[in-house]
Amino acid sequence: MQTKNIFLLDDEFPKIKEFIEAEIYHKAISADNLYHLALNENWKSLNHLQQLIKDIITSEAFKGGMINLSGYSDPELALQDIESGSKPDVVIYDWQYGAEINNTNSQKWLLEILGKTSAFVFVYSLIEQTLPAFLNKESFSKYLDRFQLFSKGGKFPLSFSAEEFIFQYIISSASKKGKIQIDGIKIEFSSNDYLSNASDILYLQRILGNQYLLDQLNKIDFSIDTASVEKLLNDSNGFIFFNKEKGYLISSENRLIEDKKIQNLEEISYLNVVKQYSLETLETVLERGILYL
Amino acid sequence: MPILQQKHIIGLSPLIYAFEGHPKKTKETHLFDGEKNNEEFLTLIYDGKDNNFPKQFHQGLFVTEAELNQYKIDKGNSFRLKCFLWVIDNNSIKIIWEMTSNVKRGEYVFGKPFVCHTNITGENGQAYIGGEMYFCENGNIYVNFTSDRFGVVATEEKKLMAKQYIEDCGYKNIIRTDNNL
Repeated sequence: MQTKNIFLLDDEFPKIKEFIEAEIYHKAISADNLYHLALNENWKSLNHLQQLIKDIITSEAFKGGMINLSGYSDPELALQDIESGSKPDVVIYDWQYGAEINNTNSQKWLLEILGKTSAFVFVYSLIEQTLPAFLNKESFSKYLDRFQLFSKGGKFPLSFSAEEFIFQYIISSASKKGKIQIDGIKIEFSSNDYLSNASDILYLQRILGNQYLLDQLNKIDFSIDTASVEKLLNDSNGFIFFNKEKGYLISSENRLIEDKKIQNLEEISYLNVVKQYSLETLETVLERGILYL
Repeated sequence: MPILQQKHIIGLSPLIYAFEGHPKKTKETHLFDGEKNNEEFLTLIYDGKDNNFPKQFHQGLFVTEAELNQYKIDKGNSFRLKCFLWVIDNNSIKIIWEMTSNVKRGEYVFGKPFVCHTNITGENGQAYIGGEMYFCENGNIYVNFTSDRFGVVATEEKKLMAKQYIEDCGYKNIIRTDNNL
């Protein structure tokens, strides 16, 4: 299994004398050194980040060599390593550096990281609500599916904290197992034929509806794997239509079917849509009403 | 003819809430946090009664001929980067660039940190109909009704009047993308 490289960028790692003298902060900070800081120093308002580091390093996935963790106190150092060939899979990116007010450098560095890697980037900030003003630009919009904004120490709406969500995202990316929490209910996750990451469970939520999914969880032992995804979709009895001749999928409730008197539609169950195409395809058809393949 | 006239209202009625009339989705089951609020987007929502390009529009958001074919926009598929969402509310057409960042939605609907139709209307706002529009370099404006909240269950009569209203606002060369099904 390929090791997942995690870059953690934050200029507020605790600075200790021995590390300063050894110039530890002038290059990638190793996982061992991050763990030393997490165990021994006062992280003040960054205690959630401190716990995230502890959780990652004590995880089975990390111990099994499936995760590499590196810290950078300056994005320029991370970019140097990226230029040298390091390829992060996940970047946890602190938005604010020093006393900068206009966030010019934060934007520049984030764009460079997005442009030079294929990593998923968690943008992590204390000023989450003001970030859209900086990010509502075309230069960022093409990467919108590759980064996610989180508030430091914030309560993630699905009952995980932001840091717990990031942790589960990393763990499920690396080990293909993880947990997610929906309305307080913890769901075990195994990477399967339909969902590659624990957060993909949210596709099911959008397809089936939040309450239906919650109601069904006890029938699948609060565990999401190939069989349980198939059971959930099958039990829903949901279907859409396929126009083979024209090559599109159309939702059964789309009024166009009636108004345009569309013929030659084949019924296709949710499960078969997912088997033949993907969960994302099904979700798109149900959201937009129609999708040309 | 900037705001809705009586003939438009007759053809577009009734006003509906998000998902109203949808047989499978309701606000309670399918409207997530981050999709309910519109306050922070009000300054970015364009009132199309003046038939100009929406706010946030710039030359780079013209759809090229190549993109038109590549993303099958003229058949009704989405090209989110250059997509503008629209609804016709009780007053006029309101438009917003879909790629407008929506942090809160991204937290609840992981992978979708941008706006949706209910970010124009708000959770309890009503609209006659909604969909997407694309401004193409060929001069056409491609319009569809692909919104599970305000478009999927809309009648043909509503769609015809919506197109008529958009044209009456002064927008030229409106092309419906659902004519070749």
